[in-house]
Amino acid sequence: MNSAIIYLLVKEWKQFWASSFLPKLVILLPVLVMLLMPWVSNMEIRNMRIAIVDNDCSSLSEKLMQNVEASEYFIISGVHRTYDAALASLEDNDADAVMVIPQGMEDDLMKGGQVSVHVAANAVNSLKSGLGSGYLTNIITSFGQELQSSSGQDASIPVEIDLQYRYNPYLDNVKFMVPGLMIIIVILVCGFLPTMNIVGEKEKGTIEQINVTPVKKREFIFSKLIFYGFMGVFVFSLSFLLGKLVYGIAPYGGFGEIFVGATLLIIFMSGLGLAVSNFSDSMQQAVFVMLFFMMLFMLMSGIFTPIGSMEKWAQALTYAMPSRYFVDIMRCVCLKGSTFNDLWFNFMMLAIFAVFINAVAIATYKKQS
Amino acid sequence: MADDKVIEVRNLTKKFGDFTAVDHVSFDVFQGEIFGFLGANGAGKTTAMRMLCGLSIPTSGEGKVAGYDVYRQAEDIKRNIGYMSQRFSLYEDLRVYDNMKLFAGIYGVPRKEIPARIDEMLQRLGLSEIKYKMVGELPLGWKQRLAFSVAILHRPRVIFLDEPTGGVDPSTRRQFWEMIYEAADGGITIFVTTHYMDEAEYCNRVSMMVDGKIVALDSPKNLKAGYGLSSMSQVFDLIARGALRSE
Amino acid sequence: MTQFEAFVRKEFFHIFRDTRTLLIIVGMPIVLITLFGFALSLEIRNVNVAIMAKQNDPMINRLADRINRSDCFEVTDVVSSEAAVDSLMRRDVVDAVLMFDSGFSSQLLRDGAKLSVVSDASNPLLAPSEAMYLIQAVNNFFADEFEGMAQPQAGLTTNVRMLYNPQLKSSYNFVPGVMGLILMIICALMTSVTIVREKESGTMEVLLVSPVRKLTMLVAKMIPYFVIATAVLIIVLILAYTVLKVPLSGGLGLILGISLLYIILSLALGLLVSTFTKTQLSATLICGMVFIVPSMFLSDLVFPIENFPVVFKWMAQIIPAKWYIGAIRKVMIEGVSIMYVWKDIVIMAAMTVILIGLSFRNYKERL
Repeated sequence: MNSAIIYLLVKEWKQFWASSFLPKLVILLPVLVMLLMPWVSNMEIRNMRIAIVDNDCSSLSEKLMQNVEASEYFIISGVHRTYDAALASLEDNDADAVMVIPQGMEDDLMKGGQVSVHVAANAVNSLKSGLGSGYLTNIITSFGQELQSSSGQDASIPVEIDLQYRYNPYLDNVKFMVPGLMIIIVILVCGFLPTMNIVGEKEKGTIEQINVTPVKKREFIFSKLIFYGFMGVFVFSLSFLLGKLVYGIAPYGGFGEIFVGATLLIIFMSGLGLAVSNFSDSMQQAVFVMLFFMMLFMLMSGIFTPIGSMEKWAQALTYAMPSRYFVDIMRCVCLKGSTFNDLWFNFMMLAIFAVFINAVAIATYKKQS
Repeated sequence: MADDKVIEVRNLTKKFGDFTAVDHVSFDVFQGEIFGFLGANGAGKTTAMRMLCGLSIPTSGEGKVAGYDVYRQAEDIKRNIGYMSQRFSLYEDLRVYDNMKLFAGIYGVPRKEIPARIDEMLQRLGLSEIKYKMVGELPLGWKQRLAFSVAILHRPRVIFLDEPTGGVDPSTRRQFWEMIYEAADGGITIFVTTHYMDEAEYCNRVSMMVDGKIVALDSPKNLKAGYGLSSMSQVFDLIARGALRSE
Repeated sequence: MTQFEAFVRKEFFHIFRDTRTLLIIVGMPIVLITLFGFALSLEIRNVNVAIMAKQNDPMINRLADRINRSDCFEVTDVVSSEAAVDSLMRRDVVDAVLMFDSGFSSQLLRDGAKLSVVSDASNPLLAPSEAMYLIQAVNNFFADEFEGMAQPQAGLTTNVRMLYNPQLKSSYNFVPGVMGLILMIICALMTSVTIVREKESGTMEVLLVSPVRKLTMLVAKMIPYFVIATAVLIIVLILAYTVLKVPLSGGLGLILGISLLYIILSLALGLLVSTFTKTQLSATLICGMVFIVPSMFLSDLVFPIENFPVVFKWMAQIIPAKWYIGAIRKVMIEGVSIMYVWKDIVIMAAMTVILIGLSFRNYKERL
């Protein structure tokens, strides 16, 4: 490495510590996000509130309600006289679904007739209503089957289905979200800091003083890239350490995979920041453009909602999000113990993006106008 | 001395779209000279200077600084010049010493020499007491002196000063010019833009720019004699009257 | 008033002269909302299923066929060993596997057989739904296979109705949320960065020594951004209705009213940030990081507040986006009247008043 880069790195280091804000941010952001956010990043469907309209008022309807209440998924929020009253409680957001037990259910069932229980779910949250009504249907149907088998009619098919949740048998959301949070931290830190730094130098005019020196544009870009790259690695390592100590992530190891992937993403993000600042006239522009990319990377690479659930064309678009490859890497390594062999495509794509964007950053940095 | 041209400019032109900021300008600057580059705001001084510093590529014409071509050898030029911009542009969030060390370092001053050279410079310019001060906390006059010291720290052949004394009081300006003289005595060529006409009197030669063109170029004495006026500001007023554009 | 007009005109001029920035500010939310409207989803689709069977079995083939024909499942691989299943799952190419013992169908006809559904639960969100639908599909298949075997009709059935969102579209849930997130960030960031920029460049001081009242000046600064944000809002609502097909059931008036209140709230938040930050860097970082993260996590956008530990439930109450998203979801999707959202409106209004009050107090003290 030549000496100009070293001087520029020393300069970045001193400026970093001279700031009253940055050192705190670099520590606090990972700590707060890693310690607090896993508590809330829980999309598990439980405690779905059911408002019941019992038109039957029989011992059987009583029993059905008990079965619903006994399930871990449901709470009975209230028993109402009319459907309208139950619906009002749903509109007031006191209930998530209404279950109507029809009049004469017990009598009809005893006579061997067909009875249909009406369920109306608030489907604004489609995942919750879909799964919730599915579970409710299961409870009701099996309640019906129990009745039949106790009366001697066996309805079951001779197939026993055994369900295994592999890699995360307790469906623990923390295991799923913590790797994602680490990626969010990297995106935030490496997305904002280099961009703001370079645009800041432009606005203050200090970049011009550098431009009249013999420093090559490559050297200037590399000094920023190296500095913010290390900062990114530091932030990521801190997050990883917290993730490991507090949540026990990555039980299968794979640190090589994790850190190679993280470094590639960090290099990409810093390079993107530099490229965007090259194209921007003002801090405001740079910030908005970076924000645009960061939102894309955070929300379209499967951190929050799975890529598999997206519309087909949106899925295709995710291949243009470098973060998507790293999200895959993190999840597969942390949860399944995947290795370079399994994930080589992801690593290759990340590397291609990292090299490409930095080439753009260097090519578009102008020392002369 | 006459043979030793540090800056040679022939028909240098810079256009921004339809606007010709610098229009076929030609002049020479010699070794050790204090060359004043005068003109009203918007006359094209800064644009011309930025081309000579390799910050901006000329539209046409020729230019050589320290023997290097402004089109092809901008990086070689940069190694041999110092530059002090109109707007203070050192790092305000670094200490005085750190700024000096940074620029000494990136200009390739050998690492071992740097501390001694900085101390010597600080002493010569009377800046020793602020060595470890944050630059952002200094008053403007001090900042300008610091910027000047950074511009000459690597011992360039020529330094470009763009309105170096804007916004400070006359006594600070006089102090600043003493530094300039001292540097020129040391053999450094000074290329300075200003719109203070009293400062023009301090220069060995001045050129006057109006609407992107050089309309007069000579020593202050000859210029005054030629127009039969007693001060440079009268000369300038006379010349600038023909200006079409102002800021 | 003329002074005020002059100021507003100056601010508008500043913004509209810089067409590139304007384009970014208006274009970015539009692109993001459209993209996220399509992309943010928890629907079950494109679930890749692998079949593991020790030998070729016509019944399993029929089952695979049947599963393939359903909308959300696709049988992508048929393998014969556990090791192959392992590799498929670790490479993340299948989401679920149906595993059959050897001689499955012959055993089934003799005395019943067992099959395993192995679901990749590394995503615990969708795994239960995927498994549920897959098991339903398998059950339906066998029910049809054994139709001949005197299958008695179940006596108790359910009749499920999905209110407000009969097609179970995720966008109904996410579009209002994304609107809340993006409007907040844009508005807060725009105001704080512009005001701090004037502080940094020193033009603020010039204005402050002029005989202009502070109130006049700050309001003048916010008006153009309010206009831009309103324009963005209208475009976004049009997109939501026409492109994303999200209903505007509760009436345009109420939706606009709530959204405009929220825009003012967000602008006020930006104003407050600008009072205690000195550089654009810190203003951006505070708006960007301190608002984005909580607004994403604590606002009910993706993660349901009802699942939070109680301390976080309290924290969520101070997130402006939480109130907006809650109210606008109810109004847009459920179509409720103002009676059901008045509480959210009052809280947002109170937040706005408090934020503006704080900003003015800070401005007096700090400048």
